[in-house]
Amino acid sequence: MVSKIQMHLDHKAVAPNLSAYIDGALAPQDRERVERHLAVCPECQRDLATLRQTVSLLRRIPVKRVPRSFTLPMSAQAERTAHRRWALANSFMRVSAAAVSFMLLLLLSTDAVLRFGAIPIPDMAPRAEKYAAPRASEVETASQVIETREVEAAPLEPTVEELVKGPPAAEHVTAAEPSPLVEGMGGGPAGTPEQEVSAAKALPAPSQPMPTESANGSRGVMAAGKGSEATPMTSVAPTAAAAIEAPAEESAGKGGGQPTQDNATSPTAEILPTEATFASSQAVVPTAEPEPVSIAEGEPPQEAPALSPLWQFWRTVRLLAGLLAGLLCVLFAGLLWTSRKRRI
Amino acid sequence: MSEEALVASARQGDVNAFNRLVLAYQELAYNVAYRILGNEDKAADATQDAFLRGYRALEQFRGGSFKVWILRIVTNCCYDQLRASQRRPTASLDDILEDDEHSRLFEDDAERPEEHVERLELDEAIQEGLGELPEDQRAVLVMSDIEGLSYEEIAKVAAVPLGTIKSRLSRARAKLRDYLLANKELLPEGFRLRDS
Repeated sequence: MVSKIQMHLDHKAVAPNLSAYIDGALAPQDRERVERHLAVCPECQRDLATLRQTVSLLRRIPVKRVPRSFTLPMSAQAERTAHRRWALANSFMRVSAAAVSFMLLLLLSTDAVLRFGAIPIPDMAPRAEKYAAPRASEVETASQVIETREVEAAPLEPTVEELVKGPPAAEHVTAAEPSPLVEGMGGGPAGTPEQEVSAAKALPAPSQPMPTESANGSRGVMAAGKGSEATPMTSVAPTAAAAIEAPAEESAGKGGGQPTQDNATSPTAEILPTEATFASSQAVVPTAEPEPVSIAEGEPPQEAPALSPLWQFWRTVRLLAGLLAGLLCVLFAGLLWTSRKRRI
Repeated sequence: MSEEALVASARQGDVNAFNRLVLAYQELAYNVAYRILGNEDKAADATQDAFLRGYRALEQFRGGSFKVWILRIVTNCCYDQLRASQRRPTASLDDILEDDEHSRLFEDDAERPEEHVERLELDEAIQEGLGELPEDQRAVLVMSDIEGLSYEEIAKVAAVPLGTIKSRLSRARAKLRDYLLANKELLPEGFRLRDS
């Protein structure tokens, strides 16, 4: 019984090896197994015999005489050069076709989405203008306001010194109210500079425009405003310094109005120590007063979240579409390339 | 001039050097093509196409056996031909009018007329049987048992592992054997398989 099962297993294993056995291409242990099995299996003996006859017939069939010579004409050399040039052009065309289709796809998808109203551009445009233009002026005027207040409140040099390397001042700032300011900077996607600026505006408590502005200002500013005269001064300075250090980080998360914002903030810091600007800023102050209020009313922090999810979504869609198109193009080009290689 | 030197010259564009390689391998190439395609004209076309492609793509030849390389191109050309004829099947006028008396088989002067006829019948029967095989098995069987290439060479031509060649050859031989057993009358008396 056992031997029957063993024989069946051997038969299953040996049958596909008979062909290689004829050619002597089996490993020694496989050959031995085949031979052992052949000795006891008439079916495999028959298979082996007929396979041998088949191979022998194949070896006996006559060689076909070539109908003609297949040598190439001398013109093949010139053709080969032309062919190479064509192949070069072909690969160039392939690469450019891939690039063009990618760009076209990106362009068309962008255009289609915008055209069919997925993104309300007509609404966006005026908002963006309103958003961008006054902000620049606001920052300018606001910075001037800061200067004015600073000059009014305390001598400039000590402030700057404190700004640069004043441990007590820094301590004071941290003690006063550091976290809300930091929160304000990191939190709102578009509102941060405004908050800083309004913070700056709000700091000198006794000034005239303060009541309205401080009402619109951030919590941090309110808290800072409660402190002594010196406290706001020092807290303004680090804020401005932070604003100068931060723009790179901040600009990443914001819309079109941002570059002007950055440009506006950095001059602010430069202008800060100069007394020459004081006189001019005095003149600007009154005009600056109504503006911040109106901006504060139409302040983007309320609008930005309403628009940004749509934009975020659209940006993601476009990015994904672009990536997908790019991936497909690369795959397509790769396929073409490998098929060309394989087929010689 | 060695094969490597001829290949090197041909790579520089020397058509004469390449033609010497063509003369050395055209019979092998044509016979492989004929056995795969089963038609003389198609085989001639595939062979010519293969040499032309080989000459154009000589930069891609990375050394090794030129025979293997050119056979790979020949088999690819044959597969292209097969696919093309599958798309637009046509009956060749030559096939209809083919006259065995003018067949281009090697004729041995010492061969008796009966023997010659028998060999023609054998050739036809085997060609019929080869036509029944899938093209990859057919190519392996032709290269191994008709042209006498080694397993290693065939594996390189087909660009598949050695084990695949062994199993393909095993299946091809078994199928052809079964075909010849089932169609014994196609073979001349002296060539029929005896299974008992």
